[in-house]
Amino acid sequence: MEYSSKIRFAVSCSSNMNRSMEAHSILKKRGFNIESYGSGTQVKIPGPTIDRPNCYEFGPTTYEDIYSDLLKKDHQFYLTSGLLNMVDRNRRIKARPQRFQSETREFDIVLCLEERVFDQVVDFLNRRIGSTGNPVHVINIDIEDNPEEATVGAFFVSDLCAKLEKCDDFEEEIDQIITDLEETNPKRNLLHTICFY
Amino acid sequence: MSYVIHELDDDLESATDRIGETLKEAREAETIDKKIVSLSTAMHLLCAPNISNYTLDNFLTEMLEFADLNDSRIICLIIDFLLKASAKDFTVCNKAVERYSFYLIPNNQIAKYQSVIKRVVVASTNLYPIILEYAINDKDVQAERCWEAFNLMKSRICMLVDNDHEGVRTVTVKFLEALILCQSPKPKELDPKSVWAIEANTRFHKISLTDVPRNHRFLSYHKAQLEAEENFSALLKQTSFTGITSQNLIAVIESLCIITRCRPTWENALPRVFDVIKALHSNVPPMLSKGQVKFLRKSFKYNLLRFLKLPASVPLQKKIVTMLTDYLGASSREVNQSIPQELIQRAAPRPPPNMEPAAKRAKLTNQIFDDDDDDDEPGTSTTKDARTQAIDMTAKFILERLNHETVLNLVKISLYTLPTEMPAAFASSYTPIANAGSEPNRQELAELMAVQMTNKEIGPGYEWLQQKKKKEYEARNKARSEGIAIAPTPHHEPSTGRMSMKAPAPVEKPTAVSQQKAKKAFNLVEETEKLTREEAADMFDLAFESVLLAERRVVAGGAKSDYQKLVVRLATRFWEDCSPYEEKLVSFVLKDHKRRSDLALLWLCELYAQYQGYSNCALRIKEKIENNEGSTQAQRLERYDHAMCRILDSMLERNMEKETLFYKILLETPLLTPNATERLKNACLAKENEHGMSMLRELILTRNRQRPQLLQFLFGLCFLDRPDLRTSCIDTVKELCNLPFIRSSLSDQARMQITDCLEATPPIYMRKDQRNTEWTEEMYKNAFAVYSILLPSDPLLLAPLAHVYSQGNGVLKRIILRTLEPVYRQLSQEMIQTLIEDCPHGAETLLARLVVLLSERVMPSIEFVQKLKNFHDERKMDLRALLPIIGGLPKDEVFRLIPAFIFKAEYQKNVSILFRRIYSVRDPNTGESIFDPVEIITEYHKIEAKDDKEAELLVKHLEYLFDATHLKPDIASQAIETIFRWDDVPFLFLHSLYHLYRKFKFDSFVANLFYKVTEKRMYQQSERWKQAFHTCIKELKTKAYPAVLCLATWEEYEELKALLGKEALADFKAIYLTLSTQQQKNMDEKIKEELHDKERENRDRDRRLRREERKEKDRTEKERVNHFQVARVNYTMGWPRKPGRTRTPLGLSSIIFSHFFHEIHRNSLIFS
Repeated sequence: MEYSSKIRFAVSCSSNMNRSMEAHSILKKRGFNIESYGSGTQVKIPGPTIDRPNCYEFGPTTYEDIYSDLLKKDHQFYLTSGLLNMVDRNRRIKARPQRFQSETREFDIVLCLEERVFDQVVDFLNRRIGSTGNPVHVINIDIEDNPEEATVGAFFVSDLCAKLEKCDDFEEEIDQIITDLEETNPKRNLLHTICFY
Repeated sequence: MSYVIHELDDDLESATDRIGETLKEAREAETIDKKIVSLSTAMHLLCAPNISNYTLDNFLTEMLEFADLNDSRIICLIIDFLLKASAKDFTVCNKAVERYSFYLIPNNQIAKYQSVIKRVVVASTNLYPIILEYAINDKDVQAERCWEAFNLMKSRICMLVDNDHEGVRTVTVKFLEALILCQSPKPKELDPKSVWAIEANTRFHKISLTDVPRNHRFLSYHKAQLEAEENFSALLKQTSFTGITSQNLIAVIESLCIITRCRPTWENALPRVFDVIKALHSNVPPMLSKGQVKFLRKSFKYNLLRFLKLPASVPLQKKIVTMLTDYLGASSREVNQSIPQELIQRAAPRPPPNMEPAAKRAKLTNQIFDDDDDDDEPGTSTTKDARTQAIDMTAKFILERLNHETVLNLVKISLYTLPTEMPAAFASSYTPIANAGSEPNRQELAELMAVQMTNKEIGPGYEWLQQKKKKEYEARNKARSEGIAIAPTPHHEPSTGRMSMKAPAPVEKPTAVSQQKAKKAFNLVEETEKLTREEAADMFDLAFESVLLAERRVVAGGAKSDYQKLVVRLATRFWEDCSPYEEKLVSFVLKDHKRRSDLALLWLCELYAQYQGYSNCALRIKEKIENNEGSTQAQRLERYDHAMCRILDSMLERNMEKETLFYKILLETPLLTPNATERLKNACLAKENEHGMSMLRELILTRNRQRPQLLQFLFGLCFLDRPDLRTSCIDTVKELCNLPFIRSSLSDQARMQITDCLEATPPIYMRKDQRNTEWTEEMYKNAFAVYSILLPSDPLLLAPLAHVYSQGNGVLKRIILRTLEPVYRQLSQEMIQTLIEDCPHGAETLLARLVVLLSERVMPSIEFVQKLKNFHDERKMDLRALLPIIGGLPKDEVFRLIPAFIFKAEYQKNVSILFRRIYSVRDPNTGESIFDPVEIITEYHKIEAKDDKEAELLVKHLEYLFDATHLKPDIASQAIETIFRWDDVPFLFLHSLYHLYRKFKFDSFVANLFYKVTEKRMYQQSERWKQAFHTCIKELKTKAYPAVLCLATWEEYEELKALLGKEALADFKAIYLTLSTQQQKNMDEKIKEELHDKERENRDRDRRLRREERKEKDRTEKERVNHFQVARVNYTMGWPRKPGRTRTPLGLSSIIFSHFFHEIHRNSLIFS
């Protein structure tokens, strides 16, 4: 809702499969106003070898499609690697992977889970022709792209969101919250900027 | 077709119904969330393109009412709604601005109100272009009001840049960005398909200052631009605050970069912003954390890469690239990808000047100029070259010594200066240099150090430079001492008598030197011959013309400003009479006035500089003046004025007064001469004078020093015989008086103008015909036209007006009183009170008039009344001045005033007003009459007349005392009864009686009182009483007669009869008949006898006797006839006839008579 009393969060990784969906799942359970996205050009997930990833198009492809495709390609392999479980979780959260650049909705805070994603998001927001001029805070938190790190990272993101949500006015305190987190978590590569819709 | 229309109508109806329903749902919803959902739907429906503005207008108030719920989220929604509605329908803008201004006021009652303020600022940012468009398209009063209100709000928003709240500050920065983009001109050369256009495409690209017409009625182009410039500078300054937070710094930098991308050449934006980035990079604010510094660098890199796409970045390209690659970690590939193909070519080694692309032409300066064969300023290039050489020399010196040992020593020394802790910025800004220690690196380092050393004036290069300069100086002096004329130095030598006779051409052969031998080496000095004056002049002419013709080439080479300087100097400095060159220059400028306006301005600036003695040329003139040669300052001013008028005249001849150059000359030259103002007059007098008036307005706004003269000029236009011109002047004054900084000048000027009215003859500017030296009413009226606009809002203007009034002649006084009357009605009580305190002698009547007009509108305060009363007593003023404030005076005072008004001859005409005011003045709080009318009437009757004249006046003014329009009949009767009950009833009572009778038609009341007065024989008290008695009888007539007949003695009766005339007797007799028998019995016998009508009695008796005789006669006749008839019947038929049925002629006549008699009788009764 546009005039929500809660902060409108968006979380974005590259493919909207692992890190952002893990964060989406946890944040949703904890009652945040959250959406998740990918900022890459394609939905890319590991394939049988490192140079043969499975690629899907953002938009028409649903998680259901990906699930069926993986089942069809190599059921056992993707079950063992945990990918099938991941897609299964995703399809229970929302229908399809979404690309951040195709979204018209406005958010208060966009959490990027990798510096490259952060750059893409900031670049997109700065290059688009402005519409409403509402401010949006973009924050980078580095999370390695594997299921374990995604879970740990999602809790970190959730803690950050909880701190922000608790503020009377998050814009007043966001600077301090991020600086404090940066000191305690130097490896998370916390970056923060403000863009305008 | 009709089907489609019906369908559309149905759609609209259903949409309207839906909106209504949604709003109803919103009203009935229990939670704020539900209300927001419904309101959001209603908002989208209302702002949809298919909904008419009429429907929007219908639901507007209903929507806005939801803001009263005092919930920040709903207010935010309303703010967004107003924005969308304004975009859809411009007329909503007024409402939006009004609401936004209200919401900007902090409200602690509402939770999270900061979000509302933020939303207002964001919405105002979006509203900015909409309102600007509205103001440009609709120039009506509504749009003007909206623009003014928005300007007020704008200044309030701009102040939020220092707000305590971080988020508010951030959105305010974005607002400033919108302000700057909307109020700065869009680059003309922007090709919509270019890379630059893509970079410059923001949501504010649709409208800019370029769209504002110069002659706009209320939008000042100049002011808007000035505002944008100031805000741009303020934004730049923001970056240097050490306490700035990361979020705000990023917002400011992003905004500056957006502005730079959209307006790279405006206000030198690109180099200035680049400098800011450089400065910030080397001096990062200390509060920033590691991550923040990292992002800052990222932002610099990102923006600098985008700058490379702009054509305007070409001159800075090298610096930007160096910064990107060496300090911001950009790869060469990234950099190369960012530079568009066409700009890479420009950055490549320079092609011949005429092949230069346009964008670069404008930017390149001296380099190309110096490389050309136009070495007019060899000194500059030499110095510049020498300096480069010096740096090279030092660099070479350093490079030779930049070995391991020296570097090691330098590092050791620098270790002592290192800080104890590593600065946060260092780690992030540190870029490892890949080629450290390599030859190019050493070279670069040596160059960097050489620049620093030369700047610090150390190193072998600098020493060499000093030596070189010294040598040059000595050589020049030596040559001079040998009589050689040295060509003008770069710091331009002034024109002098001698110089003006000679060509500025470089070298002149010394007269003593003869032809040299062939074997001798070539010597320029020896080989040259002295030119004759004619030759020199011809050459100068040719040179000047060829310089003029070289314009295109020079501009292409990017040396436009140098070129303009050269042309101007050639045209102004070298001859005593420069007019031929100036004439050429004027026609040259006018051939392409749009591009050459700068040249024209530079020319005039040069002449101004010469006039003031600022230019070097003028120094020489100064020397000459000391020797009584050359032109004086006055002559130089005349020259400047002449030049300015010449170009303006040329433009007017060609009907070019609407061109920008005309405007620029008037607006941007250092001094506007009176003659130039006369040229402006031509533009103002034209039929379509909007442009002229707009120029005049801008001039008044911008030329502080000359504002009084310009205002006098503006005021002077009011005196011309052109009502339309007067109206536009007055409109301009109205606009100007809203600006606080003009206001005082306007007031001063207006004051001076009305003071001029006291002169014996009208000043020249007021005269239509210069020969006319007599004041006319029209002149006076025109002189007060402007004053009347300023007066209501400026309390200080009233005193000067009073002063002029006090000194002025009768006509002037009358004009001041009459012409300004509508204005007086607008003056406040406080203003008039101030005048009471400081009223000049002679202006009492003006004050009295002001008080009258004030009292018609408001009830004067007690303090006001007191002050006026004191003033009145002090000045012994006319009593009439107290009339307007009579309601504020104490009762006793008013009672004392009444006789004064009644008896003094000069106040006679005002007695009616006095009583009208006394009766009508009411207490403002209770609405009841302040004075009791009964009391006033009784007090009036207490007034004692000293003589007959006074008594007469007292009687005369009873007319006004019993004013039927203000006095109720019962009040009047009550008052008169009260007076009658007094022991000592005044003679006036009887006069009052008949006035009452006349005005209120009291019949019996008056007759009764009169009867009582007569009964008591009051009229016998005095002669005055007796007269009153007689007058009263005369007036009351039949109402007084019964009393007179019943109570008067025979003598009195006789006296009255004589007084009233013969006609009265008939009335007396008639009245007598109506008196009762008792009354008749009590009457004076003589009177009774006289009134008793004997003739009538006799007449009646005769009539009765005649009647009886007739009856007797009839009876006898009847008997005779009966007898005859009976006899006849008996004779013919033997049957007698009934006597009653017989009709005889006599019987008929008796019936007619009887009828007639009845009539007479009835008439006589009526008559009696």
